Formats: sequence, structure tokens, C-alpha cells
Amino acid sequence: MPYHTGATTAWPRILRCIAILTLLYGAAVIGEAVSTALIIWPLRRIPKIPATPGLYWFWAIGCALMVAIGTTLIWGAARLLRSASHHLILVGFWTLIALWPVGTLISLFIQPALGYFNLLMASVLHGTARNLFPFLVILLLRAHRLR
Amino acid sequence: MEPQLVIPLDGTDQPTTSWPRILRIVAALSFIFALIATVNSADAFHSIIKRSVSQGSLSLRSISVADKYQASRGLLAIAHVGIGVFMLVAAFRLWRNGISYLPVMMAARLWLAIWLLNIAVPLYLFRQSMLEYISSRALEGIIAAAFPLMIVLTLREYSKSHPQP
Repeated sequence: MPYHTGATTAWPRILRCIAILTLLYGAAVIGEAVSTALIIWPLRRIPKIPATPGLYWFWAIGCALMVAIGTTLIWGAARLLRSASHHLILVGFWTLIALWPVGTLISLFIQPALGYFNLLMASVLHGTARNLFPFLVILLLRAHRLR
Repeated sequence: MEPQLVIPLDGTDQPTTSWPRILRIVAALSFIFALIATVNSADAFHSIIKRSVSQGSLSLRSISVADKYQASRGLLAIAHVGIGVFMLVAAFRLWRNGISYLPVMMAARLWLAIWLLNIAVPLYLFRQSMLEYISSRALEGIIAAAFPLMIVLTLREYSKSHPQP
């Protein structure tokens, strides 16, 4: 293999792929949060779907956080596309991953009726499937930094 | 005096040190993805079978669009289980030898093809509620498909850098 080919020349293309997919991912996160917010809006006493006020506040705060994270990811992806700075993407994805166990813990307190085992299993399976892309991006960006 | 382009004796060869690390990341995360995808699809298939059994025999009633949808979902879930098992083995082999990336790439592509069918079939069967469907399921689908898509794109870059005879 020639010295100048390989991972060094592949990195700009890999970073562009990361940026474009992060852009889509961020948009999807915002879209999901908005569609959930439309279901639970407004926070009323007799809601459309049966839930306790605590659960409603949990969902509402979750939606607001997801919109903020999605916006950070889109902004970070745009910056990566322009200037190869990936700090905002890392902030967005680390926040998303950190919120996963926090959300699970709060769910365990708010919805004990669903059963601890069921909630934990659902959180592990659903959360892992959702957070693999953020993990992959974080590890690839780390490999890029250490190259 | 003009600077000379030289390879330092003690310097690390960047192209050869980056890819093994990337392939290890891809292999490990693909293994986890395949495991989760297989369990999720097997669970989905199990619940479809349970629902079909509770609704009774198809020969006793007319086949509705919902039945067709359930049948297609069942078939796609079986396909996802098969691809998940294939990807598990492929990711494990890639982790072990660090060379055989093609099976992982193929498994990710197959997973994406089934994912596309999973979106296309309900759009075809329930045309009238397309907008509602796109706003709910498709957004979740994009989040789920981002990982295998990134795997395919990364391995495609690897195959460009390491053309095989």
C-alpha cells in the first residue's frame, strides 16, 4: 500500500459521512420529540392518554431536552461539515448517552406498576439500539483524534 | 534549503495504525447491534405469533389488510433474525482476525434492505394514513438505521483504501 493512501485520506470522507448522518439523526430526534409533545400538549388535568401528572412532566421535560440535543447535533454536524470541528457533536451525543440511565432510573420511580424487570429490559434493548450510533461516532472521532 | 519529504524512522505509520482500531470498533459495536437486533426481532416475531393465535384461525374469517400486514411483519422479523445471526458470526470473525470485513458489510446492507421493506410495506398497505405513519414510525426508523448505514459507509471507505485482488 502506498504511504500516502489509506486511513489518512479516508478520514475527510468518514467525517463527512458522520456529519451527514448526525444531521439526519438530530432531525429525527427533534421530529420524535415534537410528535410526542403534540400528543401530551397541553399539560392538562384530563389528558388525551391516561397518565399521572408526574409522568406528563417527565415526558414534557424529556421532549424539551431531546429538542435541545437534536439542535446541538444539527449545529455540530453543520460545523463539522464546514470546519472539521466536532466538539458540539461530542457534547450532544455524550448528553444523549448520559440521559439514558437517568431516564431509566426516573421511569423506575414513576412507573413501578410496569415492573422493574420489564422496564429494565425494555430500557437496555431499546436504549442500546438507539445509542449505538452515538457510541460509534464518539469512538470514530476518538480514533480520528488519536491517529 | 528545500524541505525533504521523508518517513521518520521512529514515526508511526498512520494509515496502518488507524484502520485496525476502526475495524475493532466496527466489529465490537456490530456484534452488540446484531445481538440486540436478533433479540428484538425474535421478540417481535413471538408477539405476532401470539396475537395471531389469540385472534383465531384465518380459515374461519376473511383475510383483512391488517392480517396481511401482520404476515408481512412476521416474515420481515424472521429475515431480521436470520441477518442478525449472520452478522453476529461475521462481527465475531472480524474482531478475531481483523480482516474479513465483507460479511459484516453484507449483513449491514441486508439489514438496511429489510428495514426499507419494513417501511415500504405498511406505506403500501395503509396508503391513506401515510403522513401519520411517516411522522411516527419512520422517524424512529431513521434513528435505528443510522448505525448500520454508518457501518456500511465506514467499511466502504476501508475497501477503497484496501482494494482486494
